[in-house]
Amino acid sequence: MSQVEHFHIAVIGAGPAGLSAAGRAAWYQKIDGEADRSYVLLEGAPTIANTIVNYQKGKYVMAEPGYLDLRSDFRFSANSRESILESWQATLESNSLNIRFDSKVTEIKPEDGNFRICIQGASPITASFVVLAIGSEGNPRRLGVPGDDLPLLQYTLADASMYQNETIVVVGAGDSAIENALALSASNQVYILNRRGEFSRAKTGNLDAILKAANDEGVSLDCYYNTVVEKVQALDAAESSGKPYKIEINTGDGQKAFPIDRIIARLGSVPARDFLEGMGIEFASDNIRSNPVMNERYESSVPGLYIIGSLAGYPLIKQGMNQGHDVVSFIHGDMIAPVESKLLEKQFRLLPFALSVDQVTQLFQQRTPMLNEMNLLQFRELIIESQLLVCYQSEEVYQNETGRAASIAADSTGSSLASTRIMHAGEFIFRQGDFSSSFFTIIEGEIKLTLKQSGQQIAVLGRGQFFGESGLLSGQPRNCDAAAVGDCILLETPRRTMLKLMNSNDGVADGIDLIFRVRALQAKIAPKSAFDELTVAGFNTKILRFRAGDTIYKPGETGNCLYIVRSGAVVLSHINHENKNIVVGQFQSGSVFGEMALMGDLIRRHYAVASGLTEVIEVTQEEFSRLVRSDTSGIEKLQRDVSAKYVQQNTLDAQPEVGQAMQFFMDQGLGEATNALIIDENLCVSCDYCEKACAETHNGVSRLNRKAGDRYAKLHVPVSCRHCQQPHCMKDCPPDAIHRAASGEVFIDSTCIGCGNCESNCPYDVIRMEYEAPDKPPIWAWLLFGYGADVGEVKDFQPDVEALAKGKKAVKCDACMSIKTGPACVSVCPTGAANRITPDNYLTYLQER
Amino acid sequence: MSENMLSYRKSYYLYISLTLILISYFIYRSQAGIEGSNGGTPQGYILGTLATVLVVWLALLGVRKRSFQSRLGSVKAWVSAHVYLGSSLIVVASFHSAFQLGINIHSFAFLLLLLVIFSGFYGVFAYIRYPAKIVALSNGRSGEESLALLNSLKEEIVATYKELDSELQMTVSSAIERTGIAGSTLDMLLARDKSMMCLTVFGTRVDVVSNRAQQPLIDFVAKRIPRGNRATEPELLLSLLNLLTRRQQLVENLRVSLQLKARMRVWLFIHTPISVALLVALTIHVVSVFFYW
Ligand SMILES: Cc1cc2nc3c(=O)[nH]c(=O)nc-3n(C[C@H](O)[C@H](O)[C@H](O)COP(=O)(O)OP(=O)(O)OC[C@H]3O[C@@H](n4cnc5c(N)ncnc54)[C@H](O)[C@@H]3O)c2cc1C
Ligand code: HEM
Ligand code: SF4
Ligand code: SF4
Repeated sequence: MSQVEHFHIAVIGAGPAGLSAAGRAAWYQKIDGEADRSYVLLEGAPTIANTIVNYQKGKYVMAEPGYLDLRSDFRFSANSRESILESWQATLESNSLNIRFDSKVTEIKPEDGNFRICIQGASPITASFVVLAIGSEGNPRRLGVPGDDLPLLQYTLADASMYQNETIVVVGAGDSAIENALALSASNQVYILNRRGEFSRAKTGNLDAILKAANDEGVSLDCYYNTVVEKVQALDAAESSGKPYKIEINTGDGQKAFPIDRIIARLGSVPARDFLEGMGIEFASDNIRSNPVMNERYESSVPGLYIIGSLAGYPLIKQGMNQGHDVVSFIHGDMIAPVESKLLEKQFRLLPFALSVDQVTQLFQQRTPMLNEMNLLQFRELIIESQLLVCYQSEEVYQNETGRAASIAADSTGSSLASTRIMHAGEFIFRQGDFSSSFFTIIEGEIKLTLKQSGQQIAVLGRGQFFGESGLLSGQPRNCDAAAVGDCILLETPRRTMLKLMNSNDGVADGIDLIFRVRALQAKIAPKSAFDELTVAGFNTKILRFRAGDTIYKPGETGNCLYIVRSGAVVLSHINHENKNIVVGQFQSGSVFGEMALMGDLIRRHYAVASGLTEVIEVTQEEFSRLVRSDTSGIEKLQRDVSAKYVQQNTLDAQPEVGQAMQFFMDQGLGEATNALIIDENLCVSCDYCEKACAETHNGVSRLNRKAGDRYAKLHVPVSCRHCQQPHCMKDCPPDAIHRAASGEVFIDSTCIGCGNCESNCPYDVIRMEYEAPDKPPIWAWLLFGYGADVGEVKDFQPDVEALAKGKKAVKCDACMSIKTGPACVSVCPTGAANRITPDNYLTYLQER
Repeated sequence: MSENMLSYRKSYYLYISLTLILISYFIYRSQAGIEGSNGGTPQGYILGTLATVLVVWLALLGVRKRSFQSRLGSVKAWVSAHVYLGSSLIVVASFHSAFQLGINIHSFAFLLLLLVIFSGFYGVFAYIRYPAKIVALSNGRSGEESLALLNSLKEEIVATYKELDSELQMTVSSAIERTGIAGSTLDMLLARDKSMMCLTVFGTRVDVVSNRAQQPLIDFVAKRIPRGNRATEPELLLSLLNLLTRRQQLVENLRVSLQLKARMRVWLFIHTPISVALLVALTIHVVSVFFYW
C-alpha cells in the first residue's frame, strides 16, 4: 500500500473563507519554503464557491459590513456574481493553488497527532492542521434510493432556462421545489413529487401558484401526492422514448414508471452541525442556533481543528475571507492582530481614559462579570457591533468632548460603524414606550430607571449591571425611562449581537434570563421586595416554552400557579353554551394570566393556548404567597386586575361574535403583531388606493397585497407587515439590515444584500424581493395625455440598467415611518375601511364595529 | 356598525353643512326683497364666492386623493366633508342664482353642478350599500378563491360527464366553455349574460343556443334523468346536476358581484369629468360676469 499523502494544512471547502485561507497558505509557501508549508484545498463540488455559484444568475453581491476592511490574497468588492467568481478563478489559477475538486470530505478523525481526512471517491489523506470552511448551507439531503448516484440527479437549479423540452421530475414539497418546478415548466414537462398529501410547508404565494399551475391544462406540470421515488435507472440509447433514464415511483395507488431526462431533488439539507459533532466539536448549547465553541484564533474544542466562515457563525463573505487569511497566519505562528482591532481603537478613542486597547479591554472585562465570561473573539465582536455611550455631568466637559467627537468624525472617512456617543447625564437613554430592543451594560457610573408618568423610581443600577433585557427578550416596548445619574459609561448592544452571544454563551444567557425573571416578578407581583429576595424567587420560577396552538391549561384543572408571558402571546377561551369556542382574553408579553386561580376561584375555567411561539414564566402558588406576604404593595393592583378581567371575560362571553372574530385574529397570527392592517369589508370599495398609496410612497413598489389574505365575518387581514413583537424576518439577515424603530416599525435599511432569507423567514409572506422601479413621468402627463402611468405600482415594470445592476432587494412595509401623518394606506382610504390596529385595540375595534 | 362616510365623526360635517345652509339663507333673505335679489347684488356676490370656493375645494379632493404624503387630514375625513358640503351646494348655489334660470352659460354651469351632485349621491349610495352585498355574495372567499372554486367544480364536472354519452358530453362541455361572466364594462354593468351552449337537434344538427343563467343546461340534464338508458346513469346524472347547480349559483353570484363592483366604479367616470367641465363652465361664468355685465 502506498504511503498516505500528508499536508501541513488541509483547508476544507473552497468558499470565500476556504479560498482566502488557501491563498494565504500559498503565500507562506512562496515566501519561505523552509519549514513545512504544504497545504491542500479540498472542495466537494466541481467548482469553487458552491454557495455563490448557486446564487441567482447575475445577482449583485454586496461587500457588507462597510466598516470592515478586506484582508485577503483574493480580491473582493461589491460586484456581480459572475465577475466575482471569475476574479477568484483567475487568482486561483495565477497562484496555482493546490486545489482538488470533487473531493467531498466525509470524515475527519484525529490520528497520531494528525488528522486523517476521508474523501469521497479518493484515498484518505492526513494533515497536521485542518481549517474547516464548509459553510452553513449543509449538505443536500440525498434521495437515498438505488440509482441516486447517477448524473441525472441534481440538488440545485441555478438557471431554469438552461433546460428545454426535457422531462424533469422535481422531488420535494418546500418552496424551493415549487419555485424550481414552476420555473422549469415554462419549457419542459415537469412532474413534482410530494411525499405527503399536501404542500403544507410552502408559503401561501407558492402554494397558490403550484395548485393553479397543476390545475391549468395549459401548463405542463403535474403533481403526484403521497408519492415516493423507488428507483432510478439508466436506459439504453436504443430505447424508443429517446430519454436517457427511467424513474420508478410509488404513488400510493401503486407503482408507475416513466422515462425522464433529469431529477431535481429539493429535500432540504442535513445540517452541518451533525457532521461537526461527529468529529467531537463542541457547540455552545443545544439551541439549534448556537455556534461551535472557538477561541480567538478560531480553534475549535478539538485542538488543531479550526473553523471559519459562515460555519463559525459569521454570515458574510468579507468576514470569512478575513478569517481565512488570519487563521493560516495563526497556524504558522504569526499572531497578527485581526482587522477588527483597528476598529476597537476607533471605538475607544472617545473614552475618558488614556489607555491602550488591551488595557481598556482588560478594564471592561474586570468591571463587568458578564463580559468576563467571553473569550476575546466574542468580546471583540460585541464591542465592535455595540455603541459606547459616555455621559457627563459637567457641561464644560460635555462641550469639550462633543467637540473632540466632531473632529474625530471629520477626519475618519466613510466608516459607518456605530461610533461612541457623548451625552449629558440625565438625558434619557430610552423612554418608556420606545420599541428599541438594544441591551445596555454599565461599565462605569450609575443609571436610574423611572416610570414615565409618575416619575417613580424603580431601580438604580451600578457598574457591572445591565438593563434593557425586557425589550430584548419579549419584544415589548420599554417599560420605564432610563437616564444616567452622573458621569457614566455604557455599552449599548444591538439585539442580534446579543442573541448571538446568548446562543453561544450559556453563562451570559442564564444571567440575562434570571434578571429578566427577577424584574418581571418585581414589576408584576412584589414591587418593593428586596433584590436578594426576588432573586431567590426568580431562581424558583420556571420558563415554559410552547408552540402555536399548544395548550397551557384546560378547564377543570386545579390551578396552582400563575404565568407571566415572556414572549409571544396567549389566548384564553372557553366553549360557550352553543358549543362554540369563544375568546375571552388575549395576553401579550409582559402580562400576567392564570392568577385568578390563586386569588379566589381555584379551578381553571378556560383554555389557555399559545398563539405563536410563546415563552411563559411559571410562578407557583408557594412562591407567589411568599412574595406577597413579605411585600403587600402589589396585591392591591393584582386584585383590581382580576376583577377587571372577570368583567371583560363576561362581556366577551355575551358577545360571541366578538370572541369569534378575536379567535380569527389569533389564528391569523395577530397575537404576535404590534400593528396590523385590517380592512373592514363592510366599507371597502376595492378602489385599491391603499396599494397605490403604498407604491407611491415607497419608490413605486407596493408592500401591501390587498386582494390576498384571509377573511372572516367581513374582516379581512390583507398581506401586509404586522411588525411582529419578535420579527421572524430579522433572524438570519446576514448584514443585520432589519431593524425596529423606537416607534415600533420594523424596516429594512440599505445594507440589504438581497439574500432572500427574510422573505422565507416571514411566516406571513409579507416581504417581496424586487428590483427598484423606474421613475414615472408626472401624474398630470398621464391624466392629460395618457403618457406614463396612473398612480400606483406599474404592473410588471421593467427595471432600468442601474436597478438591474443593483439586483433584487427585500422590500417590506415600514408603516410609513417617514410620513408624519402615519401609514399612507390608512390615511388615503376614502371610506375608512383600512386601519392599522395595535393589539390593545383589537377588542375595542371588534366591539365598535 | 362600522362608521361610514355619513356617520364619520358622528356626522360632524352634516352640522357644518346645515350651518352653512342656514347662514346662506340669512344672507339670501337680507337682500332687498325677493324680487330684487339676484347674483349681482352684494349678497349675491357673497353667496357666489362661497359657492365657487366650495366647488374648487370639492374638486381638490381629486388632488388630495393623489397626494400621498399630504398632511391635510385623512381622505376619509375629506370624503365625509365632501359629501355633506357638496350637497349643501344645491341650496347655496340656488340662493346665489335666486332661482333665476334661463338658457345661458350661467344656467349651464348650474346644470352641471346638479349633475355632479346627483352622481355624487349615487356614489354615496353605492359605496355604502354594495360592499356588504358583495361580501355576502362571495361567502367569505377572495376573488381568486372563487375562481379556484369555479375551476375545481369544472374538473369535477368533467370527471363526471366523461362516463356519460357523447351528446351529453358535448352539450355540457360546450356550456362550460361558453360561460360568460365578465365581458366589457358595459356587459358587467348590465350583468349581461352571453352564455351559450351547443345542443343537438333532430339527432344531427348542432345549434348554439342561449344558456342564460345556466338554466337551459340544468333543465337539459334534468330532463335526461328519468330517460336514462343505463342503470348507472341516473346516479351519474344526479351528481352532475348537483355540480351544475352549484356552479350556476357561483357563476350568478360572481356576475352580480362584478356588476356591483362595476357600479361602484362607473359613477366616478361621470362625476369626475363633469366636475372638470363644471370648473371650466364656472370660470366662463365668473369671467363673463365681471367683463360683460
Ligand atoms: C442567496 C444568498 C445571497 C447572499 N448574498 C451575500 C452578499 O451579497 N454578500 C455577502 O457578503 N454574503 C452574502 N451571502 C452570504 C455568503 O454567501 C456566505 O456568507 C458565504 O458564502 C460563506 O462563505 P464560506 O466560505 O464560509 O462558505 P460557503 O461559501 O458556503 O462555501 C463552502 C464550500 O464548501 C464546500 N463543501 C461543503 N461541504 C463540504 C465537504 N464535506 N467537503 C468538501 N467541501 C465541502 C461547498 O461546496 C462550498 O463550496 C448570501 C447568501 C445567500 C444564500
Ligand atoms: C360640485 C360639487 C362636486 C365636485 C366638484 C366634486 C368633485 C369630486 C372629485 C374631483 C372627486 C375625485 C374623484 C377622483 O379623483 O377619483 C370626487 C369624489 C367623490 N365625490 Fe364629489 N364632487 C362634488 C360633489 C359631490 C357630492 C354632492 C357628493 C355626494 C353627496 C360627492 C361624493 C363624492 C364621492 C363619494 C367621491 C369618491 C371618493 C373616492 O372614491 O375617493 N361629490 N368628487
Ligand atoms: S403602512 Fe405604509 S408601507 Fe405599510 S402597507 Fe400601508 S402604505 Fe404600505
Ligand atoms: S416582515 Fe413578517 S416577520 Fe417581519 S415583522 Fe413583518 S410580519 Fe413579522
